[in-house]
Amino acid sequence: MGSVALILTIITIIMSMIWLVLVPFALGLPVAKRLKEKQHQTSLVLLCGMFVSIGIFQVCFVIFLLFYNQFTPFVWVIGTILLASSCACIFVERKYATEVIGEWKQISFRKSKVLIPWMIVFGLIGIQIYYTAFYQFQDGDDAYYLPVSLATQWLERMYYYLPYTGYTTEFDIRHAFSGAPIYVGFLARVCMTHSATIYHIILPILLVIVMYLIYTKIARELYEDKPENVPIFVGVIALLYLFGNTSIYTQATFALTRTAQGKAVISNIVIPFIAYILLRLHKKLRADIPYGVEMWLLTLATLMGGFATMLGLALIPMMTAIGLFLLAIMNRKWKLILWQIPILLPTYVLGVIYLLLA
Amino acid sequence: MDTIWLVIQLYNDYFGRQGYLVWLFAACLVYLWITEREKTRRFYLVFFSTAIVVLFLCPLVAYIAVRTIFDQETYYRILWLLPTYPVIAYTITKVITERKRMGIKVLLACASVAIIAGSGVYVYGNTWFVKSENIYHLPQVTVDICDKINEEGEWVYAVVPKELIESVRQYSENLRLPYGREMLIERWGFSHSLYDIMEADVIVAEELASEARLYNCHYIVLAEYKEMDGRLEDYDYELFARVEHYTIYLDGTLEEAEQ
Repeated sequence: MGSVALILTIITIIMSMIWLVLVPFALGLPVAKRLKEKQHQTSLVLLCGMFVSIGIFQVCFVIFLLFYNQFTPFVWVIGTILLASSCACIFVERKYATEVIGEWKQISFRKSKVLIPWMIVFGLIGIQIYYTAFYQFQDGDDAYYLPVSLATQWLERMYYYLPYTGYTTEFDIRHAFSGAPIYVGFLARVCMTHSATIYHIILPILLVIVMYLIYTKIARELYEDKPENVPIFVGVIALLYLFGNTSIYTQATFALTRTAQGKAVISNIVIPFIAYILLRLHKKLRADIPYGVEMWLLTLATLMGGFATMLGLALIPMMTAIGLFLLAIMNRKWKLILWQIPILLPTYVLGVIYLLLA
Repeated sequence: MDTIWLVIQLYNDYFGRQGYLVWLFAACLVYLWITEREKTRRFYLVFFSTAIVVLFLCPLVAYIAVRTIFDQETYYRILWLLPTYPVIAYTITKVITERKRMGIKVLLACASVAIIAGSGVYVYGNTWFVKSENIYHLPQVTVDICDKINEEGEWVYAVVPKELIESVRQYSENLRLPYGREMLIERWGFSHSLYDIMEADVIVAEELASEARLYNCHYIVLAEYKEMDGRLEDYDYELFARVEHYTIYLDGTLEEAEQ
């Protein structure tokens, strides 16, 4: 590798860390603080921040798409908004940020009963990260996502091209509200690298890690009384994913072969995250604690559903409706069903715009 | 009746032909219905799972959904809402950890690993996984061909063999093809005269040259293993470069036109 290539690689890694770890961490601080979790706050901050940053991105993206379809100004605006709000969040929540970072110093596996199970879990996840980083899997649908991202950067306008051939066409309303390919373009621009590197390496590694963070969060909700079972649960999940290629449709197949595609993000990030929020909601309802932040997170999750794929606009409302309905019955809190209306407000707005334009 | 069969078929297709996952999940769900009493776990693992299964298998829901939001190809995606892996993982964890003797715990853990690994399909055993050749995770030959024909800031028009159609568009933003991935998926029902010529058992040089020119292709990329009837050089396409087992021809009339 030449020295220029090496410098560019280092810049890409640093910029990726800033945009995919630091920015979400900062944006997650005010949300996670209000969830009032006493332990394992770092992962919660990162997860919340990821959904907040994607939520902001999706709203700005739709506004630009409709009113000023130009990519470079969009990159400047969304980049500025994300960085400025991250700085503001760190400044406002600096005490909480210190507390969260301080949590790492207290971690000790010494003489811990869970050391060996966690080592096995890290090993299983490590295999998946290794293959994600060093092996390639050619999937036909990539020939849609990546050309959209590349064409947007090259020709400035969003969703005016036939991704399979490169020719211009009329506005592609069917896919237009899915911001994921544009997000790849945005990351490629700010990280100064090719979209394929973001799409095939950087995002997949991050998404595999985030997926297991969410499953660990689900496990902590399920095993509040027996935390020593958490690594066993996550280990079995990792094993099921590793041997989950039983068909081309399973979540595992999507997660580990088509990792950065919107469909994989919906099935392995958004849906488990909503499950996690529903579990938290159930806990809070039973204890009669206010649950407004959880509802905000559900709204962000629905936004991310639309961001990942247009089908998310149908699938995610279905999940929140079933989840809230069951929670309302189990806890006899019928007004919970009404929460479906504000949660899905962004989805309704997108739906109306879609119908008007289509 | 058709909808019922469709739903059952999609359900089986989703879990895979081995069928183990669907039975393992069903067994775990029944086990949790009987044994799990804690409310939060019952909500997610038992009630929510059952609601999704019922929703998916309900013929009326399927009939409406397939005709409105989804289609026959995408209806299976409702099953992504089903917490298949958490239900199985929770049940296995429960069965193992509720035993008191360490020996039995280890035995059950080994049996669980054997069932999952033995009955499942190892994702990375898939033949489509290959060691990556570059930081783009694209075939190196694609990168080399695109770099050869790339003209900074200009559209490049080319026709390539079908095995390169998907990857070239993932690397070059300024490459335009006369046809794309739609040709590779039979059920979409697309056809293209140039594709038929390119993918014929024997490529007729004269036909290829005239058709490629008709679609404004500056470059023709040909696999060397393809049999040719005639030479493209005889029809004003010049040999431009060779990359691995591909030969790139450039339309010689372009330069004349430019002059």
